[in-house]
Amino acid sequence: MAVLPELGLVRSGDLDDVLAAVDYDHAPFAGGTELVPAMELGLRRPAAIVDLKRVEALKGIEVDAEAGTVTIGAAVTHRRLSDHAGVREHLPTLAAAASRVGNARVRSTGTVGGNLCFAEPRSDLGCVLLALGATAEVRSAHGARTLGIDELIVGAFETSLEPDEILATVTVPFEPPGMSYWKLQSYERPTLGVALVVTEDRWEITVGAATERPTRIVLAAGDTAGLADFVGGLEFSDDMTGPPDYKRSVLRAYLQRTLGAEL
Amino acid sequence: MTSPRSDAWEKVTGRARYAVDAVLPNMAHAAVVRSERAHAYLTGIDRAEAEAAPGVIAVVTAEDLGDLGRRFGHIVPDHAILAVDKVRYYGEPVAVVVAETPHQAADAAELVWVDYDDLPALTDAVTALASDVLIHEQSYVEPGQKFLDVAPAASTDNIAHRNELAWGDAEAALAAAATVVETTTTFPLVYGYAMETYNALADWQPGSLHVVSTAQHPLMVRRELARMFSLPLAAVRVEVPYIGGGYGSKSYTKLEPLAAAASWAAGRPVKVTTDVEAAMYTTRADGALVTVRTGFDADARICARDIDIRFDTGAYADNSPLVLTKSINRSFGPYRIPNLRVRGVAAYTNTSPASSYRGFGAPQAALAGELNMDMAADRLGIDPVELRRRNLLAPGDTIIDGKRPLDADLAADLDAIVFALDQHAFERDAAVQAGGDQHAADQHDAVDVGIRRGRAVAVTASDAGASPISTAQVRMHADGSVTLLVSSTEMGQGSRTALAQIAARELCVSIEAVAVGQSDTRFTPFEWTTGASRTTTVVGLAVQAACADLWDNLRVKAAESAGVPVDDVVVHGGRVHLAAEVSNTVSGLGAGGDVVGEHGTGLGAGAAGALGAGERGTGAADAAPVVKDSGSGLTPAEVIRQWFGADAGEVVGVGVVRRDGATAVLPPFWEIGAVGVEVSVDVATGEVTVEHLVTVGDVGHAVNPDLVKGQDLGAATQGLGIALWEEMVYDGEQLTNPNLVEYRVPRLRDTPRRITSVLAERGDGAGPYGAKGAGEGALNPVPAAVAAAVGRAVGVWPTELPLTPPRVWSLLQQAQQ
Repeated sequence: MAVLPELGLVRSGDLDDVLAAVDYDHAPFAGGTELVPAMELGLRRPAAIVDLKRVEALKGIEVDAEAGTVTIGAAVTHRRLSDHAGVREHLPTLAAAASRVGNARVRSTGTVGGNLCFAEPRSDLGCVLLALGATAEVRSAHGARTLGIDELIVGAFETSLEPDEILATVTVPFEPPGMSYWKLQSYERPTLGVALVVTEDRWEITVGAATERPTRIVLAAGDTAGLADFVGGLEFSDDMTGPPDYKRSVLRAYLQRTLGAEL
Repeated sequence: MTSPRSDAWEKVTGRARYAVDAVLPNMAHAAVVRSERAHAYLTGIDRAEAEAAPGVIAVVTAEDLGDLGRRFGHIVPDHAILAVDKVRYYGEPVAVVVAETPHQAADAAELVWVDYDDLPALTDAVTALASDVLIHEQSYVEPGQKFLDVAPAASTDNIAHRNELAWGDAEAALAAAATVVETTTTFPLVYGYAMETYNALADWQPGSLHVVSTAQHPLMVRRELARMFSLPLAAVRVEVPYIGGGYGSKSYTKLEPLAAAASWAAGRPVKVTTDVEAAMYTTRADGALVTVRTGFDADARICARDIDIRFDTGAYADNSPLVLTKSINRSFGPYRIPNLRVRGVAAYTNTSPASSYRGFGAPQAALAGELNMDMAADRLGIDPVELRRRNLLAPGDTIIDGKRPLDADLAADLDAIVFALDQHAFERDAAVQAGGDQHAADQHDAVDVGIRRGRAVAVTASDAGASPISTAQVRMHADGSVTLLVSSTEMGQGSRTALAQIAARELCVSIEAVAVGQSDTRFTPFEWTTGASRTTTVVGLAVQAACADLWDNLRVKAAESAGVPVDDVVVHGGRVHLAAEVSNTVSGLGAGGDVVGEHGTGLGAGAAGALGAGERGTGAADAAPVVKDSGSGLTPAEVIRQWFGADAGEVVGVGVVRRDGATAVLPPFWEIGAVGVEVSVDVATGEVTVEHLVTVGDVGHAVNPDLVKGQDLGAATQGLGIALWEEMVYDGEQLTNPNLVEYRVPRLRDTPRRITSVLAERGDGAGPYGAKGAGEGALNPVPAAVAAAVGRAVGVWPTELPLTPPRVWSLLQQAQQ
């Protein structure tokens, strides 16, 4: 039986308390679906975990009709996200993606913040949120800053968060018309995810899971040469879900079929 | 008759006790320090820091074990409790830390420092067989040492075992054949994932050893522990509560010596548990590289098969020599083969040790053997079902000389599969034509956007049932209810329910009146093993015999109470009568012991096999009245109370099965695997979807049809896991996917879109009511059937499993070239 070392617990409903506690040795903790396995494997050995689950400021889902955005707390679970009426109405693709993350247990406990901050490449939310142009509000005891998703996730398992910072909320513009998300998922995590926003004159393509971090490109509709360059230039990971050639081929076939482009 | 599982309530309410739940007073906890090398000499173990850690009672290494029999292995005693001098695989136990709590043990285990002197790691069979580096530098085998009919290889050239089987002249027949078709396949290293991993709790005290563990075969473990600890069999008590899944992976000795040695060294009861990673380091199935060459004459009849099997057996032999021997027997299929040669080698490698796994060598060999039949059909331009029909053995034919003749009708099984596959295809096409089924229409349309379909059948026959040695005891209490004692282990297959059904039927009581306890070598009677799909057949016969013995004893008691000769007492309709009360009976009634046979249809019903389908299933309770009951007789409870002269007492019946009677000829039965699959392949992604799975449970008689179907579906699903997903991947010395996120087992979403489960009940088995075993059969042909179906879909025959999406995509690329 995997046994975790003894560790402390910091628990408060107050965001300031939590921010005062978080540092390299005091790991923010919500669903634990990423942190606990990492601790079991000995990859993370914090002296204490800081429980975010009781901080109301991290658990909201606010729809701002005027601004045309939805603001999602970092401690919102995948299940709450996918079940939320406002999210389903204004961000149906995100809701659908969240409803298919991992498995039922992961969705019930795992959170948006954990998913993004762990920066596991084989993930759906980073890709969909990048495609939606979401921004992340990052907080520490010293203040706050706002980042794009591609500024937050900078590499495989790598974010730009400082040890004393936490992700507080993600603000997501309402979903534009013509958006879709498709993924190939042969294993527990996706092999490849593709978010598309297709309009009469634009192809917005975001590729996730198969590369170190989600990658987005905006092309003029019909720019098959640009599309071919994009697909050809992506650096796909080589792992158990398949070699780079395979992932490129699957992506190419999907884009050909969906965009009607001959690549 | 299907009866609800007797353990359902306690399992769904979480009350069922598993080995992992076991506790003993003053129990301490172990953490195992495991090797971080695949192959290395141990040059030093520094445990001072661990010994000083909080709560630590003992840090045990091989050198502490002294004259304790330090090696185990029921065929080749090659397996040290803790590594001695060298380690042979990544994850091998090197030391064990015993502490007051699991946390303290785990923390201290990280403070044990092990120094290694590296050796070349031989992580696959081909490399190991070609290497001069020896994994085992000594032979552990005494001349003439045997387990069953397996005499293990005495060599130390990285060969754990070799064996062969031959008749006729395969080489000459192949040279003369009109067509020769060759197939080589790689069967992956797979892990018998069970929800409960390996667990053992041991309490050594001077002169006794008590173990609670996940052992499938408690009596085999008892024997080995008795030898290692120099104790009489009676002084070793092995208890096995519910096990959360076995699949063969928990057969023979696993963690028990480690827990026992830790208890011996620490002077406390010690519990050793494993997580999934440690379980994968404990046992896996043999990987296999198999080549089959089949020669056909001009009429597409097999004239010869020549088969080469190379097992990757891992660091220790465990049960693999026997698995290899069985794999050889199961490799050529239930076909008429005038000339045969099968050669098998099990190679030691620096990987997790392999052993028994559901199917026991059959899936490994059938992958090549049955795929070869499909490739041959293709080459010969014959339908693959027709090719099989032309070569299948008929009921009563000899598969292997000297063994039980074939006790199954494989042609009829094949017909059932083809019927089901055709019906599904017909209904789908009809639905598309009618436009009524949107899903079917979508599927049909999908053909245009890159879906390809393929279907295949496969059949196997396994010499199953293991050694027919079994004992059952039935204790009937003063109210007529019954306690059944057997040492069969309940690992989810439902054996306690099925055996209770047999006892209830034989004793004319309701199933609720039969209690079946866990196996416990101190109290439950001898049982060879729980494996080889044997329990319903072999233990079932022992239960029937015990019930017959109980009726005999009741007759004796009734005769004594009535003061009449025992021959004047007969049993009918679940009651005990004076013969004078019974008249005008069918022949045989009143003939003393023979009367009991009237009760079940049982003892000997298998031997008969002569009972027609309509006559089976007639327990005494619902037997046609054959007596004119002038008196009502006595219930068994009345007999017991009358004899004891109180509302108390009990009467016991004991039944024994050995190599005699219905089980005189081995194997006790041939376990049939007969399946069909239809798959679809997404050309863009290489994803395989199982559209239709057809299983035929050729079980003679289903004592509990729902349980048999559960076994068939479970076994077939495990086969789908091997076919499509499961593989332990070694990258250099280390297993890269020792967890269930990356070692992917089938999930609910992977269930075939349609499942047809057929039970073939022809009463042709040696077991109770004509029963034969189930449990493994439906796995055996599945990897081959899926490989053949995918091969037909993509146009290239696969050579390697699992058929993951990237691998199928590669096949599609090859097909384009």
